[in-house]
Amino acid sequence: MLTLLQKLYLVIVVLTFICSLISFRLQYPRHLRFFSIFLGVTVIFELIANLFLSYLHIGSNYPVYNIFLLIQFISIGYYFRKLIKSLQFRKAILILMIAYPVFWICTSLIFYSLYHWNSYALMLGDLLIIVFASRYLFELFTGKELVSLKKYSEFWITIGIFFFSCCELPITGMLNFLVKDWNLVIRLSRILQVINILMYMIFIYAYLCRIKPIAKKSLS
Amino acid sequence: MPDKTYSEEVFILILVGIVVFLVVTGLLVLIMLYYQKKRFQHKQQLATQEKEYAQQLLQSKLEIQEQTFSVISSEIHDNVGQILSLAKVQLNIIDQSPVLDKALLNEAKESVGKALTDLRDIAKSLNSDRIQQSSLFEITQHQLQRIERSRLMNTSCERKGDDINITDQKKLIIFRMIQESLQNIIKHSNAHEINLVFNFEKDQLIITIGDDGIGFDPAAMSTKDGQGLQNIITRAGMIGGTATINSQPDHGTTIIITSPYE
Repeated sequence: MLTLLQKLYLVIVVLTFICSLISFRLQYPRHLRFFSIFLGVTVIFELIANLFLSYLHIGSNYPVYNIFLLIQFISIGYYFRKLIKSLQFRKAILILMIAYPVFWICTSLIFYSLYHWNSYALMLGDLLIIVFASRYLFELFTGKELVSLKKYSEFWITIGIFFFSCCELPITGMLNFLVKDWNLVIRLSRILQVINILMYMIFIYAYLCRIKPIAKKSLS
Repeated sequence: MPDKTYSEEVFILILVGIVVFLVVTGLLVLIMLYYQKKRFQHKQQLATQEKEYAQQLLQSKLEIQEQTFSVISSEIHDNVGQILSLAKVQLNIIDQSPVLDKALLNEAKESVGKALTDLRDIAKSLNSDRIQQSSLFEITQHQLQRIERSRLMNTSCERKGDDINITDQKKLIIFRMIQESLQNIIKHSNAHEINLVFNFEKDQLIITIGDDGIGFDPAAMSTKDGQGLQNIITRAGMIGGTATINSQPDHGTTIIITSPYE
């Protein structure tokens, strides 16, 4: 049975995806539309991991999340590659987008199995994502281009990703060491879910903040 | 069975870590929003300054034009008109005289020639590119020559250092400041002499405009009376320079204008 927090989490994830669809209707930049597709994929994975597996009485959802790790890194990497202006950095991201799957295959399929929580791939992925996000924020901070950050979706999505990755890194990175104390793992996973909810709420804001209020037409 | 205290410690440690990340991220967002706000304000300030500068430039152009038209009008009336009238009288005398007076004819020729020269001068001053084509020192000299020709007062113009080019827009504004200063001297100072010094220093141009007129007490000057002088100070500020007005009753007035070259 899903807990209330898990249900709330799933609702927020679905809601975020629905809100992000506005990027297609209002013709947001391509990277935002791409991120919306990624959110759609996230919804599918979360539903599989949280709902279908329990209905099918499949015990572990590790394989789903392990596969999602790979998709997540490539998607977020692509997103930042579109945003970051430094050519060298973009090249580096491209190389990492190719190298990461190799690392993931080695750790998930060769050294361990999909049923084993791949904390190495997660830690490496999160670390790299934090670096990408930091670089983008740095460029935004020092760039000559002036944008209204309050209404800049890219900024808020980056903040959400940055915050979540910073928090996720120590928790899920240490999951294999903490798994002996199941009670602790549950408590930490609840915290992680709250952080996740917070991140998705930032994403909702990111997609909605761009909408320009429609001026009321005066009756004449 | 894992140690409960150890688990609790790990939990608290991670919780503290998350709170720290949350605070750091929050601070990051606040700093970026604040910095961006400052940048927007700065940009807006720059845009306002640029707008004011453009307005001043346009105003200076219009004032220079107005001044030129006024000078031309009085020169045509007082100078060319007089000379041509004289030439007409001379030609009438020659026409009515039964014998051809060669000397008078030559005088009439000279008068027409002088009128032509003066008209050429006027035509030159009408050329809007004149200020752009000549150096600031040259156009100021030309302005002083006009004053000299009107026999209102004696003038002198001195240059210290090599003439360094100033951007056209700055040149226009500085010239208008000089013109305004000279106009003030002619109108209000009762001076006999005007002395101008162009000091081309390494990083700035210093122009000193002095007269030996009646002077005034700057502190006692009303806002309305001092509008022209205030304009000079404002314009100097616009081009990144300064304008200092030193005056004392019965001791003449000195206006010092400084301007960077770029």
